[in-house]
Amino acid sequence: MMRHGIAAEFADEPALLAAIRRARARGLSQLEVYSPVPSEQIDAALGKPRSRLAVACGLGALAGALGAYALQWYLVAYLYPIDLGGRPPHMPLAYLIITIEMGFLVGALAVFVGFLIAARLVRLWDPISDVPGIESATRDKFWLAIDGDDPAISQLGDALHDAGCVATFGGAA
Amino acid sequence: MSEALATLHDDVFGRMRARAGYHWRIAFLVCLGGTGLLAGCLAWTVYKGIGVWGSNLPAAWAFAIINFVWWIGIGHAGTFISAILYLLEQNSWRNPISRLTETMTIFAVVQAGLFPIFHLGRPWFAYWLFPYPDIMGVWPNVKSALPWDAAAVSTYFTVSVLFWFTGMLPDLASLRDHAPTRVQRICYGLLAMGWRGDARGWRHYRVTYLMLASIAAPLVISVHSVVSSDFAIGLTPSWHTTLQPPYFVAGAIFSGFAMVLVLAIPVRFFYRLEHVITDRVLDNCAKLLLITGCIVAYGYLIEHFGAYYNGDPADRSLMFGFHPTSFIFWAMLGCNVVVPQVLWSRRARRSKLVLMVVGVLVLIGMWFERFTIVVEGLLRDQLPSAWGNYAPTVVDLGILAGTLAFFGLLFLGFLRFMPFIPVSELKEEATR
Repeated sequence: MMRHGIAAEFADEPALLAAIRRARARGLSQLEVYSPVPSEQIDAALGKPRSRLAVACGLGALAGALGAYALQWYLVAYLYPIDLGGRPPHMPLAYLIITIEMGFLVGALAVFVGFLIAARLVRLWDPISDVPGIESATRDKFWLAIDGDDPAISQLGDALHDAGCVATFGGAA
Repeated sequence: MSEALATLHDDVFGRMRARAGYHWRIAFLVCLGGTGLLAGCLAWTVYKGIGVWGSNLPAAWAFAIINFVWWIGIGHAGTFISAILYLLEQNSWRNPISRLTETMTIFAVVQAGLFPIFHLGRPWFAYWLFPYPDIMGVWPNVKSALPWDAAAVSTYFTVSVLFWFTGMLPDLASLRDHAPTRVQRICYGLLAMGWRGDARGWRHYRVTYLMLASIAAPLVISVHSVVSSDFAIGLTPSWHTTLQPPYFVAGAIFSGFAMVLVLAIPVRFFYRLEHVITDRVLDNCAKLLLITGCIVAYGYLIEHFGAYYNGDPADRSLMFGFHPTSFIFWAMLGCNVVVPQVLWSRRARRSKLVLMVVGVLVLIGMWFERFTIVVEGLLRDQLPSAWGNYAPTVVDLGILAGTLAFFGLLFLGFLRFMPFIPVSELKEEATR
């Protein structure tokens, strides 16, 4: 979370990308972008790696499936075996359905919870929310914010002033 | 590019947030009344016991299971459109209707879930289906089909809700940021959970959405396969066949596309969204309705061939003999096999009236199909002395009508208050 910093609005993505490159060329690294659409170019310009939430999903699905199988065995074959129609207490074919379903369920929950954590959601207010006009980021405009704690911010110069309007937030940078 | 995004945003949100007309109000009141009927019928069922339903031996499964299977099936097209077409990158015609159809899925599964719970007779013990530690030391028997259903349907519902909600976050944030009143800003703000469109959020969002789509896609296949296993593991004539899973899934997607047409055509008309939900979108839905209809017709063929080929007298007499309910079978063939053939014609696929009529008839035909599957085998099993008849009661009919109204009520509420067109996805498509 950026406690304070500088934010600038851009009319379109190419202008934003140019600003990101110039800011990074000046040694600024604590950057964040607010945009109405996702963009691979923005991620590439910011130098951010691909999200690894797919791993969380896979691990969750595996844990869900293995856990469900183990639980079914524990409950039905070990704790409470009942003979209905001569079916064996440990019956992999019958256990398979709930195993698969729980794999899907826990995989989905894992990726969703991972998303909430990784994307830092459920935080209803952020200093950036106070920037006048920032709501255009969910409509049509692209915003670049630079953290006031970025060691290179004093060298910022006119990089952003050249490109668009600039607002500070959370106190002086 | 920015002007295009702004135009799209203002246009679609403007139409979605337009004041509700009298059509909406009348429909809402009708659905509210029907939901009252549903509540009354369910309360009566709980008070008197399920003896107020027509289901009794030999047809111990009747309206409750027919309606359950029918409603679950309707949900399938929603997940098919939102997940499978997403993975197949059919976004240009998938996006405009994906939110509507996901919503349809969730509300249809809500209706479906009511039936098995009330069919338990003592619905307040429904939680016994799930393994929880208690002093009784009795655990659910997972070799029975009932816990399979509970696992499959609750997983389907949960994953669908997560997928739907994740996809809605950017649009909810848009509504929050541009809400005209403080109350709306707070409500949408809470729902948007602090989504700001930051690059970090989008980076994880895209992978999350892809993963949820990848999980939802096999669920489309698995849910009705599991439901069909309830039938396939029984020895009742016409149930005990490996045809059931694909047959059920094809029928489910078929009925779901019919419901998509029945919902999307009025929505695009009343909200003036013809330029968003275009003729091409409806045309493609109609083509998929035709394709799944052909698969279902093939299913009927194989079902009859199977009965002939396995040589079981009960199966054969059920499939080839005449019964008191045979007219339902013929009505089903008319609705599900004959009627969709009109969609081979391009002119028919472009006519909203034809699509609406075909959609409604297919929904009726699929209900008939679920009737023939569930009830006919039970009425004519291997032992002629156990044969019987079945007729639904007023309460049965009231509950069926009531779930239609409750579905409508939820759907109308969603249209009124939530972003039913995924504007952020349309914007993303526009920037490509």
